[in-house]
Amino acid sequence: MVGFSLKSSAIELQKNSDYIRKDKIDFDLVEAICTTIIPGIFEHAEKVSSQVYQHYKSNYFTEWKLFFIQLQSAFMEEYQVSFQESSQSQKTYFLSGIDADAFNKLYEGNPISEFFVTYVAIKGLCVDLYFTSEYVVNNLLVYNRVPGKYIGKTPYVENMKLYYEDPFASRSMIFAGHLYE
Amino acid sequence: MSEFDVIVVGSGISGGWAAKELTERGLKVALIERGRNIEHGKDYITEWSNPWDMHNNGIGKSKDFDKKFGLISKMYPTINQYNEHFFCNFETDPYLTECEDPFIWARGYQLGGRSLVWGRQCIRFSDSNFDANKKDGFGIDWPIRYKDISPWYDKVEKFIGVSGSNEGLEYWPDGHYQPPFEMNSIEKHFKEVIEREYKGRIVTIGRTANLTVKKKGRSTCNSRSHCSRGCSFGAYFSSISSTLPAARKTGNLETICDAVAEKLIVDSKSGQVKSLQYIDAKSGERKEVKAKKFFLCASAFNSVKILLNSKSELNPNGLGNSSGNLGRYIMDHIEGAYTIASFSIFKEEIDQGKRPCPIIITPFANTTESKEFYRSYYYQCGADRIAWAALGAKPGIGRNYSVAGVEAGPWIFRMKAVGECLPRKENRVTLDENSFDRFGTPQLKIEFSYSNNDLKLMEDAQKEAVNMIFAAGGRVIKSSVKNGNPGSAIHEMGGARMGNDPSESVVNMWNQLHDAKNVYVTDGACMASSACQNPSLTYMALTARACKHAADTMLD
Repeated sequence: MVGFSLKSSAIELQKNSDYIRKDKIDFDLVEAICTTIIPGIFEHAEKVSSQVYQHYKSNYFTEWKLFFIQLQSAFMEEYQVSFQESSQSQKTYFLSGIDADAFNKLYEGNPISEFFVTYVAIKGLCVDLYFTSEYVVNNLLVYNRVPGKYIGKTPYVENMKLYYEDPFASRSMIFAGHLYE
Repeated sequence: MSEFDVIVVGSGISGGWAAKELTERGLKVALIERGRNIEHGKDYITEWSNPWDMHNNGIGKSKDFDKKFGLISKMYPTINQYNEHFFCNFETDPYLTECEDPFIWARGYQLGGRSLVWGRQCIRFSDSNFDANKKDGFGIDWPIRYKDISPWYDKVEKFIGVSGSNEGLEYWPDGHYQPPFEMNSIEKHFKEVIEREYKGRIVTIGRTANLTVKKKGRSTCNSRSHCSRGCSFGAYFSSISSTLPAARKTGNLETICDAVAEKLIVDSKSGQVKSLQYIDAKSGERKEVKAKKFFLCASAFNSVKILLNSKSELNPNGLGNSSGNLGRYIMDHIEGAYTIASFSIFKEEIDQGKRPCPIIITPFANTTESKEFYRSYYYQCGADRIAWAALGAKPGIGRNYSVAGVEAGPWIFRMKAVGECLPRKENRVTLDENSFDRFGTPQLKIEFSYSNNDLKLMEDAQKEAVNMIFAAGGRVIKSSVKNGNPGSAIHEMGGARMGNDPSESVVNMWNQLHDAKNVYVTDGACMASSACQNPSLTYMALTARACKHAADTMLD
């Protein structure tokens, strides 16, 4: 899939959608999206699904709801099967197209639609929640709670384990207004 | 009614110093704090929290964050799940703001105030800062010069512990520093190139109140960079870890928490203040406490609020307002010119630990280089190699994509500029007599906008930032002029400006109200200009200086 396009308006899709319940999110769909972005995410970050749901519910209800409806509808049009019931390769192919479109637009500095904004937000959430999960922090990274001293220069070799980065550490926070916009 | 030698209102950066200095001079002091009590260590409730202990692993806002913090929620993620309990709740303590961009007034209502969460940069004002108003005509002349405050900077730096490096610059005066934190290779490279290519531009390490040599009862910084959660090591300076323990040790301090200072009560015969009326925040009861002298250190706007609210027959427009300037000439710093760049050198190196301070490019605008605007700005910068924290902003999905999150990315260099705001009469705080807070006192109304000059500083800073990145061989990822909301530097100051002439200013050169000499205002309210330096060190030095004056005149 080279590009992602929506053939029907969101409101129309919402009216006709049998794939999404109007009042709540479908956890299977959320999980399928998250595991396609980061395979194995639920083995280590079991809270992701409910956390995406919480964000959906508390912060972005309208936009996120439409995102799931639009994604599911577009997927059905292409594959005649729901996203969560499709094969892994179909899911990966489809989401890769959305991902490429979103980031091409971002890199070109073009305005992006709410659909892509929501996708990037969900993807960012998956990354953040995965890399702050207990398993990943303790096993794939080095979690040193009290470094003791700042050392400006140490050797870096490929595949060495990195220290866990606290996104709220003061030095990063200096630039927070910019980074988190 | 209890009677003390001195009442100090507020226990933050300035109030802590007032309590320490006055009690160590043998005076009996009551410290009035509107917020709750905080115990060093015990009440740093998130200090040891793991990400997975937090709501959504600490990512994003806490539940009801926007509702709770209202206008102040714009300060996310500076205010985040790990430190939000040290910031004031907008719902319970609202204020009014009449600005195109709302003024963010982030307050810390607890013992220690915002000293628990401050940025810790300690930079002296210079003679060029104290001269600035006189020279270009904005604001009024400071009645003091560098020589008047220099010994007090010495005293404060030695006590609180500041790490940094002396550079021999008139406009960025040297001090008493513990050994500096280390720069990493990119930062050293940047320093070398900028100082070579731009004569007069100096790149140095931040002067930060984080210990690199231990002090009694406080250990050295462990480079966790979790300062705003509270530090049970006492490795950064706060009232809680440093000045208040020193004050308590004298046996001369009584601390009264949950006590909201409402007004100063003037003796109608002498015109001097005889007592403070405060509200017990738990019971709502109004109480009065007497003293010979009073130090207002409640943070700039709250100190002004107390004075505005201290109306009497003698002072119908508020105490200290005979000039009509009480509440006027408020300032903040303007922050912007955010620039992010990558460097593709030093791939075989990485840093370890989290240094709690930035590197600095000292002010060059109108110091070593002439510009077509007034005053100056400086930069805070820093470099590190980030991995997963940048992954969400990169294209790709799947296993290979997630594996990239555990590999070090390129060196990322970040810059932001901090600029001086001109003192202007139209920027002011007043009391709104139609809106009241939960204690029945009028709400504070803030009117503030940046001047064209303030904005020009950031435009220039953004342009120069990009040029310097190119000169150092970096690739600019993003750079924008965009400024933060007014107040977002959390350096609000002014409102009771210092000056020699009582018809123009509110406090004199000793921080005493012209209109009532037994009242000292020593927090940010007294500032006649903002410079671009972080102001807390100056508040502490002015407070210590005023304390000596108060003690000496009391003994007389």
